[in-house]
Amino acid sequence: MISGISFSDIAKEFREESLELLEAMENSLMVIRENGMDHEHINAVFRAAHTIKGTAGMYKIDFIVEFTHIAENLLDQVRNGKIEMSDELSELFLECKDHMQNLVEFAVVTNNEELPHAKLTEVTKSLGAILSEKLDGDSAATHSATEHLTAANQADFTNAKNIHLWKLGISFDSSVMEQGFEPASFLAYLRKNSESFELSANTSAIPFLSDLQPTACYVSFDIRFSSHLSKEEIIEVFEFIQDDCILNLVEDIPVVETTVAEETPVAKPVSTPKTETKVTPVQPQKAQNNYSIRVDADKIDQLINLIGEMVISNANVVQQSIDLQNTELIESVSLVSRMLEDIRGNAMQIRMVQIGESFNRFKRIVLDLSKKLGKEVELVIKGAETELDKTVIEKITDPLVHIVRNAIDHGIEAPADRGSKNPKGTLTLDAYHDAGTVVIEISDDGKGLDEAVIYKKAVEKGIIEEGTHLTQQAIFKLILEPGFSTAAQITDVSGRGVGMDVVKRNIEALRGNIEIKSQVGEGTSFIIRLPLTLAIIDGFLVRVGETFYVIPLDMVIECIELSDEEQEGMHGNNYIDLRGTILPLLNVGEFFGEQQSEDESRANIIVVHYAGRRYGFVVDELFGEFQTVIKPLGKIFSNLRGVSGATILGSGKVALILDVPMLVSFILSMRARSD
Amino acid sequence: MVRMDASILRVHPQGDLTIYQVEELKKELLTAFSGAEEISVDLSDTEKIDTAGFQLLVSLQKSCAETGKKFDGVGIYDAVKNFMNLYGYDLNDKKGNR
Repeated sequence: MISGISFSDIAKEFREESLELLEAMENSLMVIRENGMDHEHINAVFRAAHTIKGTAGMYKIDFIVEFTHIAENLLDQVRNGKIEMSDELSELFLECKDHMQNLVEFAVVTNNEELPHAKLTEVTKSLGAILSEKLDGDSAATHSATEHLTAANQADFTNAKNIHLWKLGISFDSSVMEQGFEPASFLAYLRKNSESFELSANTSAIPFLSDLQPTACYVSFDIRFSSHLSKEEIIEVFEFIQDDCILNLVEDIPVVETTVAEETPVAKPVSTPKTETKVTPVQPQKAQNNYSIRVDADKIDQLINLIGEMVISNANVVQQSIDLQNTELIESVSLVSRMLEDIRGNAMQIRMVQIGESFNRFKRIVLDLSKKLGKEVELVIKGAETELDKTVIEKITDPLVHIVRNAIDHGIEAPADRGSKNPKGTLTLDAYHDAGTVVIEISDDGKGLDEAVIYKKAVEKGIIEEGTHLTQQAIFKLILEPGFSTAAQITDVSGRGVGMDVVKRNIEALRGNIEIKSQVGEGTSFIIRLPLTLAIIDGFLVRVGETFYVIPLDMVIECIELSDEEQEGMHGNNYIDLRGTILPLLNVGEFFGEQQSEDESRANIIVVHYAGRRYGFVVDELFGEFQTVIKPLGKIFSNLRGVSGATILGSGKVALILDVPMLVSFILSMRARSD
Repeated sequence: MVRMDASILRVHPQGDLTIYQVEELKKELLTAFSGAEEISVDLSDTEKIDTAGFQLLVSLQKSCAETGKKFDGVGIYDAVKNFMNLYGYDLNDKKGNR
């Protein structure tokens, strides 16, 4: 209906918006399932379906409109209490949601130029039939899908509730028609979605023939209409011309309000005296962007890359200002540096997303899976508000899905096999920040991992040799090795051809690591540690021999001087006594084979904190805090151990970023060997 | 589309009366306007109208009122009627001439 805009132009946006709505729909349905029916959530489900239908209608994606319409009818009856919500129904709605998603994807892929293929049509039909069956008698007849299609343009919202009376003043930029927009189309669309519609066209601005610019827009409109559309939805109607029109939307008092049927009439007189309760002039673009702006992730990446470059250049400026010994310059430069740091912080913040969103999708997975396998599983989500870089979240979701699937499939036992434990298993997803990393824990209270069984299997599969001595942790980690996934265990759930090795690889690609804790009969925990961000970190700059190294600052606890006495007290061992506890040490210079500079009389220890324990790195010189833009090392260095990246110093020199997790595991293996 | 019939200027747009036609029609109307005493607009063969077409008609109507010429709308096609309904406007209703 809107000329000048083809579907392919907005397909991406349409998809994103729809998927977001569908996700909201699923989340609300899951809440209803867990906590029982409530108005707020069923309304959210209805609104999501309704908005998708509306948008699909605007772009004439009839097959989505057709299907969504039936689902919407049933939803409407459910939210009005005509039909009672049940687990069966919510499951049906979940299926509908999946189907709608498939339809949306299909429309986007084909640019809405093709009719859905047989498989989709079939699902539309079968689900449609189930939906219509559930519909309460009379309305089922009047609102069948076919009827809807023929009457598609007529008011089909007669049973939609929450009708409000609106006054809308709208005037257009004089160039609006020259840009290819026709005011009448927008108004006709609004009329179509209104119960009553009174428009008066203000033609007073139209000049006499001699002065008329025939293609300029002179008319403005005053409309009084009643509609089920929300304020946002009304403004959305004018979205495409939002820059070229001024809307003044005023709500009159609501005329009908059946959703809140219980509301006593006593409450009403309070709001009735005035005909216009709220007067809110609306600039459409503002209302649209009230809460968030949709920005292409690439743009943010670009911004962050640029800031990264700037941090490097700035480091150079700082260096030069120090070399010049010009105090004023140094002062100005330090001011710039500070602001740059703020900019960097803010830019990184843009990418931070709460992990809860991606946790929510597990509710559905757990529900579907436990049902399929005849298990009872309760999902507990903690730390949903923990923030994590969006890219990291995106990349971690698949591995998490895999671990969760595994936990339900292999970890949690069937109710009958759970012995004295609660027959309902518990799966916990937890996220929290810890020393510059984010920790995600997936724990189940299932049967746990059996060391002996895993060891035996690993030997059978040729992953390790019989007789190899391994720590418990190392044995558990064998399940992450490629080729471990066992044929005997393959079900249609976890035997999808993707082994746990993919989980490990994905996590390592994010510079994270994974730890497994397990107790036979009590359960298993997967503990994943991930860096907060991927691009820029605060680092601590040190020097060993001729090389500069950077240690992620969040991990640094303190720096101490390694005195001669302590050095002697070590007796060649690799640990010192730090205020009564043993501090394992790693001589960074030795590890990387640095030339020992003889004249160095003193050494320093940087105490880092990782995975709940402390370790010391022996280095030559400390420089302190340094903003580090992580530059990946090329492929050639992929086998380089102990270094996770590089950065460029102000002087142009390269500093290596220490891979603390790797070094820590090295320290541990050294100790294991010497034990 | 535009024809002088004695002193009556008959405007009879065929097919579309939209933003694509208004420039030309306006020129024709402007040329013929001063010589006419009465203007008759026949929309019975106008299949499509948009806001630009609508504005041109209103402008013509206003110009008539200003110069004391008689303006008469005869015949209307369904599609155009729908449009006029949407805008709540009747060419022959002088109240619309604000």
